Amino acid sequence: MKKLHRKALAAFMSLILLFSVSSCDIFDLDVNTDPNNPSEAAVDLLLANVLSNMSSSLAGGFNGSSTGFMAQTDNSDNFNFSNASWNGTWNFLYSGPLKDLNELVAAAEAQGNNPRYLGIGQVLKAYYFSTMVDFFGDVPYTEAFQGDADSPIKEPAYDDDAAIYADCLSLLDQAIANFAITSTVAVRGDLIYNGNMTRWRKLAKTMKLRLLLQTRNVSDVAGQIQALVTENDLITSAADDFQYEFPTAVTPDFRHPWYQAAYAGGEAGFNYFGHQFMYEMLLNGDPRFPFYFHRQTTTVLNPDDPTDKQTIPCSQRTDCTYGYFVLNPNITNALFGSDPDGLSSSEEAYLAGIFGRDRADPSGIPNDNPIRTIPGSYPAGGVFDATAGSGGGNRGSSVGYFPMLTSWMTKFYLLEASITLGTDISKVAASESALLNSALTDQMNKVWDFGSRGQTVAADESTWGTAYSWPVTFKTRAALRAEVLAAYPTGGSQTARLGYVLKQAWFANFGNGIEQYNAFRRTGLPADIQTPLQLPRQFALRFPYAQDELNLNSKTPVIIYDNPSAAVFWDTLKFQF
Amino acid sequence: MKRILLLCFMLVSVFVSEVWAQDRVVSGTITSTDDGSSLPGVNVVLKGTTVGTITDIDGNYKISVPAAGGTLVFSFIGLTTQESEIGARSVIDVAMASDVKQLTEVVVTAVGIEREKKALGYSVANLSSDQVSQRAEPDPLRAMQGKMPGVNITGGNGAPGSSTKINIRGISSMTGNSQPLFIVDGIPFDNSVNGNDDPGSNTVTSNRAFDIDPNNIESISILKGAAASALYGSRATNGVVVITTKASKKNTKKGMEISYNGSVNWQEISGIPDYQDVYTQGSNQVYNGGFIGNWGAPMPDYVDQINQQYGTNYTKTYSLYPDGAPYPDGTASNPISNRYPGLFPDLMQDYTMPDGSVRSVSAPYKIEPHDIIGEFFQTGRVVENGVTLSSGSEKASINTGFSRMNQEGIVPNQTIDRTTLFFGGNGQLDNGLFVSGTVNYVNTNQVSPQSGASAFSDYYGGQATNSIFARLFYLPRNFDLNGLPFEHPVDGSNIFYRALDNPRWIAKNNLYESNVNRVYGNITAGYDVTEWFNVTLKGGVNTYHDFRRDLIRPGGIAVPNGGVTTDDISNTEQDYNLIMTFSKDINEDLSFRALVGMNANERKYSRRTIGGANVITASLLKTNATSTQIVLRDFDRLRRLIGVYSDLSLSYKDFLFLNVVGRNDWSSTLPQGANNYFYPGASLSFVLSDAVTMPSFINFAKLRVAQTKVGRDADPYQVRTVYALGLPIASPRYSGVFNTATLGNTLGNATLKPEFTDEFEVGAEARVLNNIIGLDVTYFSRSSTDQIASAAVSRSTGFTQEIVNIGELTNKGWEIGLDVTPVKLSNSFTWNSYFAFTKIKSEIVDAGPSGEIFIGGAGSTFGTIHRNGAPYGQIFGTSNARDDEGNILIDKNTGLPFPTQTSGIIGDPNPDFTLGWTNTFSFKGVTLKALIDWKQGGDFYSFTAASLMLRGQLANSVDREGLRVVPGVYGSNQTYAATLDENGNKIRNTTPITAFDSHFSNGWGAYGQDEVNVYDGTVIRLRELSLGYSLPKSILDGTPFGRASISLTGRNLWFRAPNVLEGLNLDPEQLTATADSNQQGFEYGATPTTRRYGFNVSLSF
Repeated sequence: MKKLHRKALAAFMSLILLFSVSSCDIFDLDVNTDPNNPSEAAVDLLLANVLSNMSSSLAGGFNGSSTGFMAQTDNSDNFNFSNASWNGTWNFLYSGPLKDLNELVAAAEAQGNNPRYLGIGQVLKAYYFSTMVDFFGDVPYTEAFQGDADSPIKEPAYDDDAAIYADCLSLLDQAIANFAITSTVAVRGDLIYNGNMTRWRKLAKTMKLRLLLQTRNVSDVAGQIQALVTENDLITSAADDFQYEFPTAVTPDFRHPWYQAAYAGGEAGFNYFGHQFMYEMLLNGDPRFPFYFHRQTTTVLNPDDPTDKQTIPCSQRTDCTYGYFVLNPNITNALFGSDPDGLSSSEEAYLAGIFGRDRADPSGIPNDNPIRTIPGSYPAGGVFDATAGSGGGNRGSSVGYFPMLTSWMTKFYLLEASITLGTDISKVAASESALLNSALTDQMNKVWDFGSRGQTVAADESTWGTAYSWPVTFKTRAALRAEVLAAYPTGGSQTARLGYVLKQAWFANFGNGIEQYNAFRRTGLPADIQTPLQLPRQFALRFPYAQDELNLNSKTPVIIYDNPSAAVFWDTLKFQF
Repeated sequence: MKRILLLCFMLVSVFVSEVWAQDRVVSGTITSTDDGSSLPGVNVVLKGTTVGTITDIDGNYKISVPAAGGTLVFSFIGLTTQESEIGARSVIDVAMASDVKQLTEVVVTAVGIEREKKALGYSVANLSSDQVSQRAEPDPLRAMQGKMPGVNITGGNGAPGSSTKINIRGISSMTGNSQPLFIVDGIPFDNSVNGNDDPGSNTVTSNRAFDIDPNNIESISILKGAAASALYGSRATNGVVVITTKASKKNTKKGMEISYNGSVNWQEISGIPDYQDVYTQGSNQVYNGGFIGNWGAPMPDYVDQINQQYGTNYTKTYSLYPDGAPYPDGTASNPISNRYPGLFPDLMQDYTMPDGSVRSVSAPYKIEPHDIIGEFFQTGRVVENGVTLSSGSEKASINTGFSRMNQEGIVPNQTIDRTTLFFGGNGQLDNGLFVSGTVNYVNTNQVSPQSGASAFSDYYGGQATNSIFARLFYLPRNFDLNGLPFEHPVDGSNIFYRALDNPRWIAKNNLYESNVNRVYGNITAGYDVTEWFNVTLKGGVNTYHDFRRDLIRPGGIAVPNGGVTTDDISNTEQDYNLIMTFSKDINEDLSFRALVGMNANERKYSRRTIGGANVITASLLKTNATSTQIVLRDFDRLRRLIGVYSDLSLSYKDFLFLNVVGRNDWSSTLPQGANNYFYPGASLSFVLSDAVTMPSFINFAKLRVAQTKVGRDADPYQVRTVYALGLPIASPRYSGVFNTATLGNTLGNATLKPEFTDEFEVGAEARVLNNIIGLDVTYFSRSSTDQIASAAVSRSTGFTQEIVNIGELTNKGWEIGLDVTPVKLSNSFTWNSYFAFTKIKSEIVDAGPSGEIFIGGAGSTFGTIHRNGAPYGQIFGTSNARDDEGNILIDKNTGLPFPTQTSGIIGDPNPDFTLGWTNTFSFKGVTLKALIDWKQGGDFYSFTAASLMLRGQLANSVDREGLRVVPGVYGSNQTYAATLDENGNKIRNTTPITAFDSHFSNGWGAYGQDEVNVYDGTVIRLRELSLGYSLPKSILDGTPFGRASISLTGRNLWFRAPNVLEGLNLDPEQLTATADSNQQGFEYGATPTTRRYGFNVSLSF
């Protein structure tokens, strides 16, 4: 009996122990709902994310390399890519903003009565995917983003680039129709137009113009373009510009990529600017120069000093056209009418700060971060070049922006349409040269507007001679424009006129290399850009596909990106050096 | 374990033995050769008779023997039997040596079951306290390196506390955790790294097994295969490390014992590259005081010699004054003054210009080589002290103690310390209940300067990063890092010769800190309901909090405004087991034991990270003293598991043992309704030598075979695809804050299944020639199927990865333990050799739908990949394009190769085999032990080699006058084929390049294709060397000490890696990332490994 009692006691104690140390919760296995992340997200949250991430990517890698292709910086200026080069960007875009955009469109469609978000999603989809085609040719489109579908597609097919373009145009038509529907849904999360549907509608139409013009070599688009111009509901004033303005906060750092490179660290870490670009602007007395560029140094390096010699641009080559401005007699004579020895000290100090590279100079990188010319106040939000000074240290306003489709771009499209397709532009401007004047006015005003934010800039450039101690005399905006218009080859050939216009676009589209790169592949103009000093590869007709995509998606085509066979469908020129 | 047996045996023997009166009496004392202590309970038998006795508690015996002749046989389990002719002696003292092989070892197996080793149908490795303690190694995992076949342990790097990876029988998971389950005192012990930093930002993070002091370990059992570990359930797939600490030691003697261990060790860098001191910093043979690379002009001392030899015309001028006059021969302008003119008056000079004006310019700076590395690194130190106290009575005993370890690394300000307090006890209560419990408290503090690997700052030509290693190993030879100033004399900001953070400034100011408080303990209550039925309930908690801080002082380059990041991690695990044991002898030949258990486990984890930017004042590095704070992470995780298990053992005549196990788990991390899974196993042990009569030279022979399956659940929250909130954006144009969200990038899997590992193992053990040779051979073949993996998907699906049950991964291997005692002399000199050999071959049989999983690494297309048909974790990167005959294709214009179109596998990081060879020489209390470790094969990509080459640092790059030609044929980067001449023949490359281009350039040299920097990681090292001496009892008599020993120890004293770049002197044994990463095959350039030497003292009272 006693033994039994003891057994019962032990069993009882065991149970007590078991349940007192472990409450019954420990047997509840239904605890696998993620407490850290939401299971759904509203469309406005997705929209803000799409706009922020996509704009940063366009202004970052895409803009960086295409600016390099067009000799404005040395970024990718030797066209030497591998399948790794765009792997990160591709991966980010498809699994990030492009997917979220797809979610947004799907959600707006599913909600049924949400035409505004749907229209915005369709416009953005048209812009982003036409841009993807411009850079990558065939890309996954109709089968993309189906990883979580009921019947998931793990290896999406690559759609024909021309077909994607056609669908983008149809999306724009749908968007225009959607914007016409009355809706009470207020659009939030719209970092571009803050829900102004009129502007979205104008963007949709201007985007249509952009895509049609892009395909003018392969399709008969004259009629459609004429219809758009006649309707005259395009982005033709700065208020309607499709542009992204970067946040200025240091943390989290979503500032303009150029600003981050040149001003965010302790010292500037920007690429080199192209010498030809800087030289020609100086030669023209272009008043945009001190907005575009900021000089860091006034000290002339001594070519006899071993350290200095290594640092001087092109010191190890003989084939540079521009080299070290301050010691290049051709340049000093053209700008100041004297040999390097004869420069005044202020001329010397000024030119010492013009420190970039000739096109595709393959020399090693010396310790010249504190010397290189860095971006000024436009468009990155750096420092207006009143005096030379170091980058880094978060100087400047950091009010950077990325122009995606602006009134001056519209006008350059219309000029190209007028010159090549004979489009009647009378609804917009009286003549080609008047339209060019209007484009330049819009662009220069934008430069002054953005470039003066957060810092003191003498607004009237006719006072610059006294306000600033530059040895260079910059023309006024009006004087420069007058000079440009006076030289417009009104009666010249198509190529002469288009070349002239696109050279002006080259200066004006500074900050958006994508426009320039597209125009160049479409027209081969401007034709007078310096030949690269070294060419490990041919001119990039597009980007190579991503390594991961080649590994993981057997449908990825195998291409050689600088081979004419790889050109994008609208590129009939297939430029080769 | 030996002691327990010894005691039990003694107690039993006391009652059964009796002494018969004989003609005369012989007496004596039996001592141990190990430490001179007396041995109680030893059998003393007159040979050929039943006359015998045993020694008493002090090791003394008395025995009556015949008047003449006779031989005494002294024997005891675990000791080598000795015979001694009596002759005319009346006193016979004997020193007995231990004989591990002879012992009927009892080992701790799953869920604490103790079983006779010979009954096991699978392989279990054991280490005793003395094999891991006092080894000059504060990391318990590294203390086990090279000592067990089938167990591969790799230290992260030389930073104190840096993580260590342990893999048992290969790696069984492609993307998930590959670390074994740690069980300490019966309760799971979390060994996470909790890393979120990539190797580019932090390389010193610890794995939490570091919280175990090797000196507090009583014993370790490693349950290698599935058969051994299955009862532990879901986490046992990678094997189990069962550690018993001294807190839960069962007492050996009555009374009290106090023991003390102390050691001091010093450590220094294990290898410094063979630097060249012939050329200065610069490029193209011209000095440049702003460069990092060493491709400049010759140093002053070599100018004449090189001019003479090559007909060059170098001068000893390195800089010019403002008027163009040269600085004095052999000097240049001071690199610090150049960047900060006038800041350091001592480094300036007044210079008179030709026009008579005086200018303050940089003072001359002598161009000469410096021992940058040797002076930057310091001699580190490890100090350990520990006291243990044990006491017991008939019914209860306690163990308590404390220990403290304090380690200073070779890098200034790099330290770790660990303090442990423990208390454990057990007792038999009057009501029959057996109760035991332990509690341990550990405090671990780690400090290190920011230690991101140089690969991510130097090699990629990237921006300055905030790490002492960013460029430390690659600084200009003529830059006097340790002599020139490194901080601003007024505001303390960073001073360096170019826009980078000075390593000395980082080491002083920018620290990573981790402060861990950990408590773990358990309570066990057991009761024998009947003689054959026992119920035991065991429960425990293991909890820690890790408070991490990253402090960045303002005034640097990488983070100019400074920052403070706080990262607070807490982890709590509860684990309970209810175990019922039935044991019954069915008849004389057959006995049976059954165990049925139930296990409940909960793991709760939380982590909050707050980033503070812009430090307000450099004198206060706290989050609330920053101007912006962002909550970067607020993460919680909870998982539960319930298991029911059973273990049935049947033994026949004590030579045939059958063991059947089975477990069923219910996991919270699998889809509800489909979250339970069962896995069984069986093993058989057949002791041949007990079953049949063997030839006399065979002392022991056993065969074993096992086939077992282990299931495993997933990590939590992988069932659904979720959204993620992003950081809010403030638009400069429109008011208000724009919140953002994104659809997550990982595809959840609502039909997730458990993964299974099936393992077959077969083995044989034998001891022959009077136990001189012992062999233990195991072959295993394991296959992991339905792996729960996070597999990359084509990003055009919209996602980066998906949670999948995929394919199959196999590991097949041989483990051989060979124990040889070539010499054993009667004067007690013994030489024992132990070989632990491991050869494992892994194969990715099926890596899912795409046939591969890229798991990351140095870049988005350069890293570790699993690919069908290839072994585990290959190095994936670019190679030079080659023609059909394997010639490298050369671009005619540049004279350099170009890459193939796509990347591929360029190396296999898995070793061909590993061999640990322990030699032990003992003689009269003196023991010399040497562990030599050989790892054959295992490729790795060395970023350090790449950086040193491209920076012109190595002695092998001294020959640099004149041009050279890359061997290859001309080819086209459009067709990827050789260019042919008019006769259709290939054209040999004759385009010359400079030495600089050859080493530096993007194409052929270090900046060339990835394959260029892959090396074979074969390494042989002297991992441990120790010389110990146990003071004999005769000396200790009259002192308060019962035992005393001193030893000299050395660790990693020598290594040789024959196939690595000559002169690199780099230890290939480094982890690619922290231990929780499955990436392998990359050496990124962080804290180098160290060699360590010192002495230890061990005393007991």
